[in-house]
Amino acid sequence: MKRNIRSPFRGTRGGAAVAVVSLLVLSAGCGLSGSDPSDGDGPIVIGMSLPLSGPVADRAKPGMEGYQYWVDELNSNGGLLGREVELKVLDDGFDQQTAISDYTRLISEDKVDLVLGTFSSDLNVAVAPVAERFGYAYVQPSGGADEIFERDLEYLFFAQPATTQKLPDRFVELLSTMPEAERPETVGLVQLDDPNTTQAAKLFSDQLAELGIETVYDVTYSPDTSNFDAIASDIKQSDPDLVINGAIAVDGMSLIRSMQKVGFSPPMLYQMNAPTDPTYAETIGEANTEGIFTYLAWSPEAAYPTNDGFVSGYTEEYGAAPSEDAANSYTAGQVLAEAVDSVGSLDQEAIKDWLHANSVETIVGPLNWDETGRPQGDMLLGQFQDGEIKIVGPDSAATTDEVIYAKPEWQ
Amino acid sequence: MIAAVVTRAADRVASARKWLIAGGIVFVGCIPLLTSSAYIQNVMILTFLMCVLGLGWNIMSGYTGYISLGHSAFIGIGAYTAGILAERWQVSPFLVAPLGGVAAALVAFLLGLTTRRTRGPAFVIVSFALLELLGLLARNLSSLTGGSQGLAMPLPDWDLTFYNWPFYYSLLALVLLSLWMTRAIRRSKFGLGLVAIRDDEDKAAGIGVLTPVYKSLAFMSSAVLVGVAGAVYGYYVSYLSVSTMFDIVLSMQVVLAVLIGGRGTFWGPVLGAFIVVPLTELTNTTIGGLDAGAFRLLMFGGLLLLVTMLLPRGILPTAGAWLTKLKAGDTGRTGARLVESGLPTVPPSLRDESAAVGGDVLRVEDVVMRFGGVLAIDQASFSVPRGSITALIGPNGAGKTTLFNAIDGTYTPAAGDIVLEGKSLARADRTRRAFRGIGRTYQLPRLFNSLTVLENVAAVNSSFSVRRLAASAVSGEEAARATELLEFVGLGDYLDVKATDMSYGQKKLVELAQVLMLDPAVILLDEPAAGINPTLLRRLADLIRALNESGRTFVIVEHDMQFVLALADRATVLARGQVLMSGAPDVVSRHPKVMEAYLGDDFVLEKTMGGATT
Repeated sequence: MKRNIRSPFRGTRGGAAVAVVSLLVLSAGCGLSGSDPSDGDGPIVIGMSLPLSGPVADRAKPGMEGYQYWVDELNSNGGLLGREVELKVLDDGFDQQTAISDYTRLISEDKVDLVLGTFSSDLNVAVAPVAERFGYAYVQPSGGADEIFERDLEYLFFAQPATTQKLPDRFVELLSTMPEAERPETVGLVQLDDPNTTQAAKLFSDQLAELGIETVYDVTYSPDTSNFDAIASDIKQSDPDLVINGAIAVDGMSLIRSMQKVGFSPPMLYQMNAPTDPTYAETIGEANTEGIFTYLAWSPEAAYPTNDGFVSGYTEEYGAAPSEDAANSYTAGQVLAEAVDSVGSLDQEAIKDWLHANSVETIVGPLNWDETGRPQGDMLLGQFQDGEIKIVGPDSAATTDEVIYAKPEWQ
Repeated sequence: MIAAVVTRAADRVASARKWLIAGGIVFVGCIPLLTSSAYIQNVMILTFLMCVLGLGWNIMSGYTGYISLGHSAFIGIGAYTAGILAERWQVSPFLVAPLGGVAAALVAFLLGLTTRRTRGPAFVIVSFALLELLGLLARNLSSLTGGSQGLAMPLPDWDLTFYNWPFYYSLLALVLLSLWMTRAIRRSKFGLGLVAIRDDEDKAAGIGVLTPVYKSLAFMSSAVLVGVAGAVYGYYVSYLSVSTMFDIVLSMQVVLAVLIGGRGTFWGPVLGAFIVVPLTELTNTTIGGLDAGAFRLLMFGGLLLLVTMLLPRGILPTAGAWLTKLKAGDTGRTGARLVESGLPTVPPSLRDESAAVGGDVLRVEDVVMRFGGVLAIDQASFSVPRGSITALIGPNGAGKTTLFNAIDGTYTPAAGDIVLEGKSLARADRTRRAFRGIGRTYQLPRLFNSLTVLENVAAVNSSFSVRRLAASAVSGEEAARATELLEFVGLGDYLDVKATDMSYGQKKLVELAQVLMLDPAVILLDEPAAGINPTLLRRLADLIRALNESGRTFVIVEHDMQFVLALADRATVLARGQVLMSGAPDVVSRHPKVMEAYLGDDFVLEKTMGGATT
């Protein structure tokens, strides 16, 4: 006797129908959108997706304001190619997949006229190939990790003076000019687990080794580390003459507070990113900033044309001085606008070719690029002196001749 | 005549459904031809990925009942495996994508091993920990995975017009493959075993479902296609970073998708994916500005809340229930009176009796069971002669059920041995004891609630074979045997009724049929007469007697003395964990020690028949 009976899994008879119908509705819905605003005299739309929510939201906000300030300024000066410019900003929540989807949509569905880049190496490494695929010039305000440029993309341009690859140069140069007797003999490396900082730490370690400076401590901490006491006391144990901290923001300040707690003051201290945070001096104590080194992609002091106007204009509009992220966005905007203006059209290929062949005056100085999109400029080396970051290198941009080699003890 | 019309209508629905599915597949297959929008293709690609992930999740968490909160780990494993191999061997990631699936299946196998110790909420935590652990590993094995720098995949070099096609069609193929696999599993005896595990894993082990093998296979099939899809997805993104490939958000989204569609249903994961992914896209691209993230969190949080409150079973099962209610009319037969009638012929035992040695089928030898400081069984010994009905009686708390649990392998005795057919069972687990010949029922019947009566019986395995796994769930020889046994116990009209819809007494009969299906050397019945009506009680006594006459051996724990002592040809009395005495029922029941310990002074054994004399 054979018998087939109802399977236990059987959901409903209508299951397939519902699935297929919803599919049809979805596809129909997708087909309806997607107008084509690229022609005519309407505004030029520039698309971008920024990590406005999620872990780096605090830094994306000034980044977006930098873009917004740039557009406002541009429009008050007559726009681009005689047309008004407007931004279409999406939020990717610091998620690579969302960023990819967003840019794909902006380009292929919303058909924006131009795109501008997003923030962080993490996102740009995923998005840059999307722009490349569609043949859109992609000027990114941040994301200096070298692997982005290793892919030999033609449409990619980095709107900072240099990539991470050149980040250590000025500081290493400074150390090499010190008399050998005064030069630190050992270095401790402490960095956040992030493409940018880990790469910089590796470069520091290699280049300092060539100067005979030995790495006696090297640790990478995860982004969610909140207490640095254990790390600080480990550093104290290995007692390096120089500490280099690959920080992103708050983590750098927490590390200093922990070092103060365990009573260790390195004779020399170099930190990435954190010192340019507006709350830095207040958090670690203004007196304690004395002698700390950092790199700067941009400085409000730098005497490049347009920089002064940007700093004062931005401060007026937003009631606070621009952060480095805001400056980076503004720079990216400057680069794109200059290229479009010079080409005289929205032809992406022409824009790309122009950028590869020319140099652009920006608030971080003149920028030009090699065939991979790596900028050919130089990072600035800054040092806190009397509560302010002074530029100590390169000589052409220096705002002071003084360099404090021995950092005073914590106060 | 009417029946024929109904059948024809059902046929029409079935064929309309078939056309609809085929049409849907063709339509989805044509989308890249219909639109050149890379964005629509992108959304579809992500939806396909979610479908594959959801269908995989559904096998592990829907059918087998092990809820995973870390299923995107398999995407990561597939993507990294293919990415690393493609780089080392300088081949297209598409070529090595199947190896990503193999790697994912291996990890799933290891995850399956943890289920020997973890179930329920503990497993949820293990699955989540697996995701975190693998992410950590990928982050730190930087020489292999690029660590936090990530791993760049080669950029596809084909024309922009066809750019998405390879990703689109390979993921679509994986969706179809996943559907096909799900269909094959749910129609097989293997799938029946998985649902049995979900409903009651210990019981499943006791009726010959080799749970470790079933779970390992289920976990591996749940992961393998997800791993391949992960490899394709990694290539699509063209850059592997730990946070994207071992993505906790994706792991949560897939749970949301399948819960919305309907957990444990065939189309549920697909429906859920087609709701969740486009909705995510819609909110990502339409809600902009600084507060977009907060809005989205609120939206998805609210959606999850709505689903759990309004559609706890998901769209498909709820819609299905409505449809059934609309059709209605079909009154259940579960409440129908049991008609007293003559017994059908006893189905003969199919057991190979060549292994039978000696007079005793089962011997319990000096078994000691301790729970902390409590000595539950104290050196109990008794034997069960072949072809006997042995009553195991004694006051509440004497240790009767505990002894059953020691015999069937639920508990491991502190000392002593259980010997079946002359061989010790000490090293056999529950399932192997079922295979060797121990079958039991429970005081409160334990059936698999989402299975029908017939499936409950068909799920039983008296031995393990790979071929049987693939066998159709409820057709063929075994289904015929199950039907025969259910007809024998008087449930021939209830084959397609859900186990939950059966009455208490009927459930006991189903459980008896399950044991008969297992066809063990000795049948242990735990209080078969408790809580059932007199008619059923007489029926039960007749069944047991008839089965005994056909050569089957019984051990019965029972408090209804009239019932059990009338049936039994031997009785063993247990008190405070010790065997007080064993012997013929009338001798035992009149023994002063037994009267004092259990039966009472006024007990008189009636010689009529089992069951209450009304």
